[in-house]
Amino acid sequence: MIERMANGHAPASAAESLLRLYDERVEIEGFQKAVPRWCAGCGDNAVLAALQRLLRDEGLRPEKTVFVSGIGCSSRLPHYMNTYGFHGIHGRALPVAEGVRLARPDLHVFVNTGDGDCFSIGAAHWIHAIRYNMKMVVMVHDNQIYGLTKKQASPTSPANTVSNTTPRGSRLEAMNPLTVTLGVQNVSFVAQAADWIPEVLYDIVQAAFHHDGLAFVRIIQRCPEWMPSLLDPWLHDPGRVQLLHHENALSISPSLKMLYRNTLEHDPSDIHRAREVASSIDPLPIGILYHDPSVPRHDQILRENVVHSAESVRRLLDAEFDKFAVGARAGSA
Amino acid sequence: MSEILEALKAEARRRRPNLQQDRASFYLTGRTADTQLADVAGLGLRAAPLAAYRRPEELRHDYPLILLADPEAPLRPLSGLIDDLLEARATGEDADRVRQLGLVLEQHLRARAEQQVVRLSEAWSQAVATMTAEDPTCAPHLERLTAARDVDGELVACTTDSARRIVTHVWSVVQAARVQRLAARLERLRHGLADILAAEQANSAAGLTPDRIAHSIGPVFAGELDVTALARLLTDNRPAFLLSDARRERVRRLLEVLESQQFMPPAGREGYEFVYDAPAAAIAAYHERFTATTELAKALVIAELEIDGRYREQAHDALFESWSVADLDAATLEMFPEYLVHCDLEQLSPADTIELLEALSDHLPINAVVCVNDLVPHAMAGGAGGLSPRTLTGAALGDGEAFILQVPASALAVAMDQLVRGCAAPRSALFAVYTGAGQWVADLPPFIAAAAATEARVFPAYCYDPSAGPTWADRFTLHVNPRVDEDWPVRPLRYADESLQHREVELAFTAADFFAGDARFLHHLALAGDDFGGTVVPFAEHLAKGSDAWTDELPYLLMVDAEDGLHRVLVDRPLLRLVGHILGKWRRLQERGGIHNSYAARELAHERAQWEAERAELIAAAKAASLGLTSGTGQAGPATGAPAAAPAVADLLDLGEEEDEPVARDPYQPWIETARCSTCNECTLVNDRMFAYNENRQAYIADADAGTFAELVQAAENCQVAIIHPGKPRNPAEPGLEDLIKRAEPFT
Repeated sequence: MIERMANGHAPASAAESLLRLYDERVEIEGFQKAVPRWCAGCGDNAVLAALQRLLRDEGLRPEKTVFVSGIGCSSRLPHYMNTYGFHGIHGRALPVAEGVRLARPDLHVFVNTGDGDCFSIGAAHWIHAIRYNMKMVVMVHDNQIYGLTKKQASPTSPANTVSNTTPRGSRLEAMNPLTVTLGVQNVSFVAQAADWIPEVLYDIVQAAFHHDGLAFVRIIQRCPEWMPSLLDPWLHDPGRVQLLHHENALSISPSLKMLYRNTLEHDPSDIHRAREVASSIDPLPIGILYHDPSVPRHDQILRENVVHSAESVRRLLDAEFDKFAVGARAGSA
Repeated sequence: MSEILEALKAEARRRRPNLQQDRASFYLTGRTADTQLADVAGLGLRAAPLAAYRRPEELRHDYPLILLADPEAPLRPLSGLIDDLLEARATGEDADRVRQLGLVLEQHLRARAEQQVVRLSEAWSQAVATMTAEDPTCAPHLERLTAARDVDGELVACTTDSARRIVTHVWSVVQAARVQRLAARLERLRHGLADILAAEQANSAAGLTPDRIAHSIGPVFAGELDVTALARLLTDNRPAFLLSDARRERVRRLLEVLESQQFMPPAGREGYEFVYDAPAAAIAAYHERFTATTELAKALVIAELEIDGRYREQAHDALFESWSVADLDAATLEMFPEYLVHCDLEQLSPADTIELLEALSDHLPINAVVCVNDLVPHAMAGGAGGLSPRTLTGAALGDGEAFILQVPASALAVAMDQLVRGCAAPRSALFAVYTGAGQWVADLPPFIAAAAATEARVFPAYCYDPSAGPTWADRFTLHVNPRVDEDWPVRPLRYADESLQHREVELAFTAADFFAGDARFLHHLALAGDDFGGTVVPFAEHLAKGSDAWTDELPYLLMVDAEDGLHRVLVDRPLLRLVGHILGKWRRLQERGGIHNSYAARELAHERAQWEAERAELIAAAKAASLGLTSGTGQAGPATGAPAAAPAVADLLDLGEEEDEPVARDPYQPWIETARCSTCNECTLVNDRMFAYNENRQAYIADADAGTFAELVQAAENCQVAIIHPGKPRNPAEPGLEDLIKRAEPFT
């Protein structure tokens, strides 16, 4: 039995163990780049804190991590992470992230997008990104409004939302992005978090990071500026939040259970039950709805028969450089 | 095609029993002859976790070290210096370029240091010249880094000889500081004593002659004074200053001792040697100089008394007559140079070892640097037997009198503070350093081998400082070891399988992985063959199961060949036993370091049992009280009915087995439910001294007195998740308290 070590996948973590190498651990402050310019009280801060904590706890290197975003309040997040970042164009965070994943499989890819950015102008990319199932963590900061442009109704705004574009109230029922996502072929990980339950938010983001595929996380988020009381019923009545738990998903800490007594044991491998749970708005399900680690990843399928050893990379580079070589060609004088 | 496959499978099934039998045979006898197993000799195998170190020149690590003259920080890793320079100078538009060049410069310096010991400044100039010759555009960027470099010293790469050089350097730098203190004291005392004699001379008749006075005034004013009259004036009407004969003699004798001593001789005179290659020589030198030490120490004390005019012959003569070193205080003894012994463990004879241990135990001022060059037990290596590093340091540790530092050469920079402390300590010290030498099958650089030995618990790192505190926990630390609370460090290994699919396994790095790279252990290993099916298990898993399972499932290691091919390698029973032995020692060391401490565990179990009994009593009392309360009287009384109320009380008290105990809060103190904080910045915007974020960026009250009660209430009102509880006002004179208390009520 002989198996080949892939040079591109040398055990870097073992390397960190034997010797004191430099820049081993980055503390949470090391991931902070600038002072966030979100409004005071904004739920985006909770997501930022959870992500910085995750990067620290997982020992991720700043230069091995990239945050990609589109346009919107949430999409400012890459500015505040001291990692690689790509503040893209409206609705196109996911194709950019997919490009990064294909070109640089060694990077950890995170996508931060909003309900307008992802579910409206970026809807096509959203559906196909779910289907392609490339390894990345996609977090939709869903505050149910366009906040950056000062209040326009988004696809997830509840019916009768009064906004600049719907002065007499929106007519349509809000889209449920969870059930849509769960209806896409190849979906592999779907979760819902709330910014005001940071413990679960962190656990979900951590589980999403460890998922081997595209992890879709909808984060229900308060917008204290434009939708200040929208989520008050759930915020002030913990009984209207339903925490999902299962031995194959999240467990609820005793202290959290004292506050959130409405819990549901939900097996995340059951997609039919996941769709049922996802369709509930009140109580609001929080936790991992669906998880199937066996779904194939498009980025892996593409690279299936390619082992990038140092030798092969050098050979390919030499072949490229030879195209520009100046010298006598075979057969010429 | 399918027929061929079927035939192959049938053949594999037919051979499987024999293969497993062969494996069992190898496990028990260590023989591969006449079996289906193959030897590993010639494959150049190394443990799989070491595969990443095939090109060590590409790693940035502690070596080379820069040897500095600073007694507080005598070592500095080159990479650390480069990082500091880049942080300071890699700024502005060309930051990336400067950073890139800085890292290339580091590679050049590392390569030069590995060729020979060289000064940093010299290697730096050469490397800059080389880089500039290759690419002149890099000159201005490198000049910025060169201008910022403010240290210089020898660059030492990690070789099997460098451990001795590095520890000796640290000792020398610390000793130099110590010797300078002694030299300054000797100089001060010499001047003080000479002044006493000079004063007598100056005040005597011989010192006040007209000629002496004219000489002391100098030629400029000599003509303006009548020195004869002045001499008469000074001698006739003034009592003479004369030393007693005994004191004069004593002062002269003291001066003689201070000037003739050889611990810190004046320039031009040869002094004592303090560095030795053998413990016996150092100890003999110490004993030979015992009289001189006593004499000089006594002279130092008497000289201080003489200069201060506090020496009383009636009292002090008799006292100093019977004085010895034992009467001197620690501060005086600490000024004397200590003795350094550096030697290889393998060269120590049993007599040397005993003598060294006795010296360490007796607090002789001896620092011993013992380089360990081989960690293979003599019985396994086929040798005649000798001293093991564990024996030496273990015996010294058991005695507990000397400072002990056991560390691999790879971690000398990490352990620099302990090294300095050991050299500066006013008692004996033992430094045991594994150099990384061995008979490695694959080329293994010493710093990787040394680090691997500690990682594999074969040469665990620890420090024992008897002066660090009154308890064992103060004095002993194991913190340099990786994953110190586990048997073995476990980390993921990623590889591609036969179908080129990425795989990941959790792999423990055990002592067997370390020894498997040594040529003397090859006969304890064999390739496991290519048919498995649960009959072989990873080595650490097998070891953890205990002796009962040893013959059912056989242990294997994952190793890589020179082309990074991954192999499963069987391990025989002698090697397994050796590793079990090493693990046992590591566990005992862990327990000494307070990890998995059996006494603490026993005490904890006892306390827990007691606590649970009290808790059960409390619950029973609460249930009884609730039955009384719900009986309709509204007062506590005997349980007379309403049995359904009991679970309600238990629920109310939150005494469920898995739930947190409710915390009793002081209603007067403000507090935050930190775990529920959503980091929204509302409170820190109100007062960032009163409210701060913890290590998870969640708010807590950093200083309740850093602001007003009004700010606490405002923060509670602003908090998006209503988790701030303002408590009660702390300043009764704060204006508007009545209104504030009312506003605070919803948050109590």
